[in-house]
Amino acid sequence: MKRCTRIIANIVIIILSLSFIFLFPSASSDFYENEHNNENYICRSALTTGYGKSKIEYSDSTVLLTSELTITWRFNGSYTQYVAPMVCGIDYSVAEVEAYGGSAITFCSSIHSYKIGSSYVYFVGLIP
Amino acid sequence: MKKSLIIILIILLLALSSCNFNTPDSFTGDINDRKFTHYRQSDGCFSQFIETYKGTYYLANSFVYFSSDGISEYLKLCSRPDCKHNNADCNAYVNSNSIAYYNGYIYYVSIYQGSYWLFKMNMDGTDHINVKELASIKERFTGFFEHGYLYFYKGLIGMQGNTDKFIYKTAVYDNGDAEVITDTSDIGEICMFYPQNEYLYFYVYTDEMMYSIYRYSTVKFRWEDPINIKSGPGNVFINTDKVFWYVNGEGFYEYTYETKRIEHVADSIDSGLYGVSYNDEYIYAFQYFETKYSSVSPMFYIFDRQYNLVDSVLIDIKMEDYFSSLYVTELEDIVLISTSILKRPPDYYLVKSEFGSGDITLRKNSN
Repeated sequence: MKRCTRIIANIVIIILSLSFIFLFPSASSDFYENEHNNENYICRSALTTGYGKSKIEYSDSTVLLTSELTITWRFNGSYTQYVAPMVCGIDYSVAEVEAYGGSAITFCSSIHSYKIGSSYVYFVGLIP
Repeated sequence: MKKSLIIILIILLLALSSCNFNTPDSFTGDINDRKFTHYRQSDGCFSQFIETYKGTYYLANSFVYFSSDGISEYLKLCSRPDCKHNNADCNAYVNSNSIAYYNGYIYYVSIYQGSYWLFKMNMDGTDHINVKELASIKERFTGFFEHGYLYFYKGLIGMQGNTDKFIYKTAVYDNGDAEVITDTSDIGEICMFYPQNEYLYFYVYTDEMMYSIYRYSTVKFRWEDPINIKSGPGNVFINTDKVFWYVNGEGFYEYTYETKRIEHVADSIDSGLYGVSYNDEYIYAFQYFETKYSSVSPMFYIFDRQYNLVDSVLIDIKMEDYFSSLYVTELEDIVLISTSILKRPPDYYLVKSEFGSGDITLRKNSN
């Protein structure tokens, strides 16, 4: 019994240690699925302190899709926040866009928005 | 019946006049005065505020707001009676993160048909016109306006993946092509740049919180030796002769271009985290919340340009964005404060005539 308790305790310590290692840097993500004109679409959004991504997939491959990503960031050593110009990916079937932070900045928040044709179908804000 | 009709007419006239963005036409000065068209490096926000001869404009969440004097109510820049002012069809919607003024128009850059385009609109928000194409979606875009020109590069400041190292310049008032004015390949990865009169200033991150500031003369077409400082652009002010900056925990510094000397000129304010804004008469130091749920209200200190403390005030209001600057900008008689600089127009202000009295009141805008 004692041995079993020790093994469980060790496992808990290992899991806790690993979670501290793998939870850094902080991250958040969002998954959204719905229908537009009876066709299925999926929006995937993600943000860490140095990486952002917006991706939309749509069953109807004849319509142009747009993934938009706007990131708020700050300089290391300074607290003023800046908004980066919007970046976007435009394509049929799957449209995605990514942004990687440089060494001098930390991402603070992001807005991900998605268009099918000219219609906005979803948007979400994330904090890492 | 007649009476009620007159009352209704008066109410309608009052309502319509509150949406009139064409005040005041009595202005007789230079509509391109450099105070209206310069890049506002002292602001706590980032190309979101412009001052013009008609009034002030503020950009938040892709919508442009107008206030006649900076403290009167900020209205979305749209007087269409059928508009709900909440979508892309609204005249106030620009889908951009920066605005600028020149020669009777408001300018901004937005995405249109797969590219970044320069747009202009009238000062009442009408007639959005695409002026010229600047960069493709794949190239990306970062740009800053000053005195009727847009300086830009085809990449995103501070982020990886930028390949084009040139800086372009283009006039906002015609549809001529942009010209390359310099190549930044030799100075490293730019994490910020902006124009200031004849110079362009570039921030390059070195390591351990050190930034190198380079400057390039657009008149002499010449680079100068960089200066290395321990502060990001939020706490820096540069003019032709000097660089001024504040390092939290260390104090105020100055660098003189002619002598190439750095001087520590004043001690730090206290152990808190501060942003600093340098203006003609005053230096403002505004405190940031150190944690998301801080129970301590931030301080706002006012120094003269010789670093003597003039006054201070506790900003005893609930801040929505704990990482945002509470300081927006300084106008002739007032200092604008915001509880959420990115989400809405300024909502509080200080009156400069009270500085030095020891009794500064934080006032709410008439929003």
